[in-house]
Amino acid sequence: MNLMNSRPPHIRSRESNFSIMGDMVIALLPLYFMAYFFYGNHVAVLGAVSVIVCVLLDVACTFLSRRRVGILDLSPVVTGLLIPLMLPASVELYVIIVADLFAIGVVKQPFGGLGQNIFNPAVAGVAFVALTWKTQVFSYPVPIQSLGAPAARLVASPAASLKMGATPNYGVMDLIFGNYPGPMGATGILILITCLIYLVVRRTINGKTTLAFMGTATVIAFLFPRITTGRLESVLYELTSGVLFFGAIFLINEPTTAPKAEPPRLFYAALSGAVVMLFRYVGAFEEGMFFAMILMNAFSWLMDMKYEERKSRERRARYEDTAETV
Amino acid sequence: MKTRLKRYRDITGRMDGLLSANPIITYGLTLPLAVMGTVDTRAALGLSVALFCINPVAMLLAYLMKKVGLGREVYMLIISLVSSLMLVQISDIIGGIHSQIFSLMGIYFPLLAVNTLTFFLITRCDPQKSLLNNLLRSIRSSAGFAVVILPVAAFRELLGKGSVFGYKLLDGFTIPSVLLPFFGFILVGMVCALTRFASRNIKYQLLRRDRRDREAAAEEAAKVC
Repeated sequence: MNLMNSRPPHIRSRESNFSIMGDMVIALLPLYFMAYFFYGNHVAVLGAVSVIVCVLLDVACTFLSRRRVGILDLSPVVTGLLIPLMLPASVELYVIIVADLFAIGVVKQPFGGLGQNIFNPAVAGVAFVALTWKTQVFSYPVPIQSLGAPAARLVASPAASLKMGATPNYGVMDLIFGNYPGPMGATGILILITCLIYLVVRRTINGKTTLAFMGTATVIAFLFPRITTGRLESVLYELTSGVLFFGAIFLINEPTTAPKAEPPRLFYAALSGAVVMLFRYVGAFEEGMFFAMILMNAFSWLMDMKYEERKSRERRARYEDTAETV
Repeated sequence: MKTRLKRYRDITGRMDGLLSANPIITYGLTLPLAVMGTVDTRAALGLSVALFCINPVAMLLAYLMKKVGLGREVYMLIISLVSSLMLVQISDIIGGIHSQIFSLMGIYFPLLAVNTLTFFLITRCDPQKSLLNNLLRSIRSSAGFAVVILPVAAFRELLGKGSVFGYKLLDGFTIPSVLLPFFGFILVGMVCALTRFASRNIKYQLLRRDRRDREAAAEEAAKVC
C-alpha cells in the first residue's frame, strides 16, 4: 500500500509556526528601526547578538535532546528580538546574553522546547536580569534624534516617576512618538499601534485579548490614580510608560503560555491587566509586567482546565436533556 | 553471560543512595537544605559533614530499636532528640568549616535534626539485614547528598559571589540573583533533569550495544550451523 505524506485534508488554514513567528518578526522589526533612530548603533548590535545567541542555544539544546531541529519555526528569533526591546538601549551586552541563556536554557528547552514551556521565555529572561542588575535594567538613556549618535545620560523612566507619585513631564506628542526614556522597543506608541493593527489583520493575535488587558489597566489607572494632576493624565501615563503597551501586544498574546480557548484567554488578559497594575502600585520595582506575566503564566493551564470542565458539564447536561425528551 | 546493561545496573545498585536512588535527585529529599545551603560551598560542606555525623548514628539507633521492637512513634522521637544533641555537639566542628554558617543558614541548620533524609533512612532501616549493611546505606546516602549539593553550591557561589570556598576566582562579573532561593530550586531541578537524561541515555546506549552483540552472536551461530 502506498502511503502519501500530506496535510490533513480537513485543515484548510495556511497558518503554521513559521507564519505566526514570521508575522511577529515583521512586527518587531519596525521597533528596532525606531530604537536605532533614537539610540544608535548599539541597538542593532544588541538585537543581532541576542538573536544569534538564542538561535544557537535553541539548536544546540534541540540537538542534544535528540528532537528534530526546526530552525524554520523562528521561535528563538522572536525570543531573541523580544528581549532587548524590553530593556534599555544602554544595557551591556552581557546582560542580554545572560537573559538569552536563561530564557532558552532554563525556561524553554528543559520543559520540552517549542509549545511546551510554561512561562514566556523572553519575559522570564528579562525578569531574571531585572532582579540581577536592577540599576542597569531600570536606568534609561535619553532618546536623541540624531542617527547613530551614542546615548550617554541615564535617567529614570516615567514609570519610575509614577512610582514616586510624581507626574512625568512629557508632552502627548513625545509619548506618541516615543521620545522619552524607557525600554527601547516599548516607547513608540504610534509604531506599537501599527504593529497591533498588522498582527490583528493578519490574525496572528486576537485584538480582544489586547483590549481586555488594556481595558482593565485603564479602569484601574482611572479609578486609582497615583498622581494628583488628574485621572485622564493618570491613564495616559500609566498606559504609555514601561512595557505595558508592548506587553499587551506581544506578551499577552503569546500562544504557548496563554490559555487556548477564547473565554479563558479574555479572563486571563483582564486578570493580567489587574495584576500588572497591582505589581506597579505595590511592587518593589517600577515595572511589574515581567513578574505579573510569570505569575499569570503559571495559572493559564488552570483557566483552560476549568473552562473545559464547565463546557463538558454543559454538554453532558444538554445530552441528558435531549435523552429525557426522546 | 552478563549483559552490559545488567553490569551497569549491578554497579549502580551497589552504589544505592549515591549513584542510583540518590536522596535529592531520585526522592527529592532535603530540598530546603539543598536550596538554602547551596549559597556558599563551605556552608554546603558544613551541612554535608553534619549529615555524615547524624545519619549513621540515627541508623544505628533505628536498627537497635527496631530489633527490640519499638514502634515508629517512639524511635522517631528518640532519634530526633539524639540528632538535636548531636547537632549541639558538632556545632564547633561545623563552625570551624565556616564561621558564618549559623547566621547564613538561619533556621535551616537546626532543621537538620528533623531532616527528611534521616527520617527516610531510619524508616527504611531493615533489621533483617546486617547492621553494617544499614550503616553503609546511610553513609552512601549522606555521600549522595554531598555529591549533589557541593557542585551546586560551587556553581552558585562562583556566579553569585565570584568565589569558591571563599577564594576569589571571578573579579568584576557576578550574577547576584543566582543566590536567590528561586534560582536554587531551578538549579536543583535542572541537575535532577540532566542526571535523569544522562542515566536514560547511558541505559539506551548499553541496550543498543547488547542488542548488537546478540545479533552478531546469532549470525555467527547461524554461519557455524
